[in-house]
Amino acid sequence: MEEETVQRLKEELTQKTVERKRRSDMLVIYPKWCKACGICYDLCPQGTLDSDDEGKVYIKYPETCTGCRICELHCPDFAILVTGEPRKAPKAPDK
Amino acid sequence: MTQPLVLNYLRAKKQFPHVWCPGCGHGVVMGSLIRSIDKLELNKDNVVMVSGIGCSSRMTAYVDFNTLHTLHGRPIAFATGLKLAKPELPVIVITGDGDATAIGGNHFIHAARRNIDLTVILMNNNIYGMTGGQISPTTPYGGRGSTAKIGNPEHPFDICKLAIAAGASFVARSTAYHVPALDRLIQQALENKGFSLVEIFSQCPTYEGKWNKRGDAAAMLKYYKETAVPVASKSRYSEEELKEKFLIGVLHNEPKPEFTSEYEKIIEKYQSQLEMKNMSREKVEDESETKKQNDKTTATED
Amino acid sequence: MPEKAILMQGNEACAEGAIAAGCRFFAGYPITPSTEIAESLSEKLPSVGGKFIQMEDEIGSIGAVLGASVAGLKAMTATSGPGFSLMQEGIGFACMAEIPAVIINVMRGGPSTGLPTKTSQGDIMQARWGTHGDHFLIALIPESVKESFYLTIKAFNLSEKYRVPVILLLDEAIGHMREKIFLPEYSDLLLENRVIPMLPPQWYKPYEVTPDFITPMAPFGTGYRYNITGLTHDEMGFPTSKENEIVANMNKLRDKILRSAGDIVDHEALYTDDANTLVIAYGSGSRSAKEAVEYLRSRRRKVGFFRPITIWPFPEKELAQIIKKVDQVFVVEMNQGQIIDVVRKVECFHKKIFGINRYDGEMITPNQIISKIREAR
Repeated sequence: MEEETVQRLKEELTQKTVERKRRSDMLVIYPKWCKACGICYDLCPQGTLDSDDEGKVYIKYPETCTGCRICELHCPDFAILVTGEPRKAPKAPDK
Repeated sequence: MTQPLVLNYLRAKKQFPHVWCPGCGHGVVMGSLIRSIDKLELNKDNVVMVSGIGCSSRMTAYVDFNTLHTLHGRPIAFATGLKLAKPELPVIVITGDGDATAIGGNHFIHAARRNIDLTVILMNNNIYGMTGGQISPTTPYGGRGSTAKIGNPEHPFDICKLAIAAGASFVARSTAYHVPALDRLIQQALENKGFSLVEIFSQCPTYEGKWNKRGDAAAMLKYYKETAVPVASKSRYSEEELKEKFLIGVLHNEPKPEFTSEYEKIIEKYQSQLEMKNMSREKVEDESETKKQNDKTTATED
Repeated sequence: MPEKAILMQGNEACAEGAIAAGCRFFAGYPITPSTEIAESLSEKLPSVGGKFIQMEDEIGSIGAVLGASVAGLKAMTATSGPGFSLMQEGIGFACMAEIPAVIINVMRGGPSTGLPTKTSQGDIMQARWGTHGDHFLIALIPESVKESFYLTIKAFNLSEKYRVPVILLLDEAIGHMREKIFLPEYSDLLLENRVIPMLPPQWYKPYEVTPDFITPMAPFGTGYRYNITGLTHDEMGFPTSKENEIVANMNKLRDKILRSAGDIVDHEALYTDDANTLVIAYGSGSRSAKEAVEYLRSRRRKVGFFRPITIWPFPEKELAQIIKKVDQVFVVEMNQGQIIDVVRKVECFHKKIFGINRYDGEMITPNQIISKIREAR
């Protein structure tokens, strides 16, 4: 039986981690600063954001973001930034 | 790539993400304060930030201003000396409910009475967070904490009413949910020439939320949203209903003489008194000088 | 113009000395027997454009003083025992953050409310160890109104030079007594000012360990945006928990004072060349002790006299030279014995070391000292 660490490394390097979208035309996310507190994806009126397997925020429906900055203003860790101008956008399907 | 405005005011050498727990409201207050300072275009070289001890007061290490991290309960006392020494510097005090109104209560009410030009940013999370969740002067009756596990036997006081009663010229309250309003109130407080208090309900999910089963940070923000009543629409609620609510917005705004400018008058009075004394002494000396001259000349003539 | 003789109270001489030293800020709280210092400065300071404030308590007072010092002013407070106890945490902060400040403690009978209007020397050890943790500071103690004036100036000079709080201990007797004093021309006085950084802001390390352990101190609001904290800190003034940085910080605070003890320490010694008996006294007690020594000398007794002017750091080296040559030592104190322990530490061999103590609120008299020395024959 291979030792544990080799086992873990093999898993990590072969398993294709699901690519979580941290950047869009409207938003930028700094995953390192995000503490998975849940405020932004709970407050987002459009359902644009969601939490990944670590609880950190990622952009699930980029096209639904209206640039209202609620996420940016309410993030205690400055981990999410609105870079686009405010615009109209439809709500996320599950919102 | 547009840099977040906030990053221009943070100390790059400091370790980010900052020390506050996930979901703690203090980071939001720091962002709001930085945006307000930026909006008023205050010069970073002049802004002085004085903090006490506690979760709130770790802010000074992160911001790129003149920062003074003092003793528990004493930021307002240190800030008083600093402001009186250099009135031209905008001095902002960063403090918490315990730091400002428990151990620091005496300096809080007297600085308000004196109406010295300080902007006090008081982050109220109803708990002592840094030391692990003990109850604080604003923990509600029956509320829980690590030193009142079965329920707080004491009644809290209303920090804003305390400041108004003590004589503060500007008192406002907001929360970590009402951020745009908070930005505006902090700007108003910074512009007010006198003791300006901005109390901010800033959630502590780690202890206050846990002990009182308020759910996660988002749930606590929701509670703020549903319980806050803007002071303008206060009349829509009955006395009874208001008991369960809290007011936000500008609660008191009564400009009055500010301490450091009053003290300038004291200096002028003493210095003009001194000038008069010197002038009269010089006059006396001149007269005695001329008298001596006359005596000498008459003496030589005899 | 010949200097004019003025009859001045000890407390007022401190206020005058502060102005002469360039003090431009006072924050204090009324307390017998030091209130005259505050009352006097409430007029002297605004007259020279300085600032005075009466705070809500002594904790607020020391806080305001440190805030003003951080803004760049020479700042001080004055109090007595009970207030001095309240100021201890602030004094500790001044040690840790290396903030210049002068704290005058006019000593009254203690402990607790004690003897508010009576004299005592009971706060000597508190001046050294009042606040918690390993720390180093300077304390001076005058024996006359004239010396109170000059030691206030020295207190500011030492505090500015070494970025350390300096305690000026006055016995109530000195604080309240009036004596003749010749005030010098203030422009002739040699005044120290804290070193200001020459480097541009981006190079400035506010707590850098320099060869003499004294780091330039930039006043707030002059472009050097840095952090001051009471937490153990690194060279940049930010909190640290790294062992090596903690030790470096603590050693800096120690070596800054002990390495320069030669420059800081001051004492007076009389008739010590041929003395076989040594009388040690300080503050107001030293006046009676000197008279006793003069009397005994007139009786051909080989008695020497030693007086620490800086009580902390104690002049141990200077005392050690003298004490080696004598057979017995009398330590005159208006308390139940405090400096006597330091003397025993300096001279721990067979020397007979006796205390001559008076702690009933009155001045110790020459006769008390003379008779005690005679008894010990």
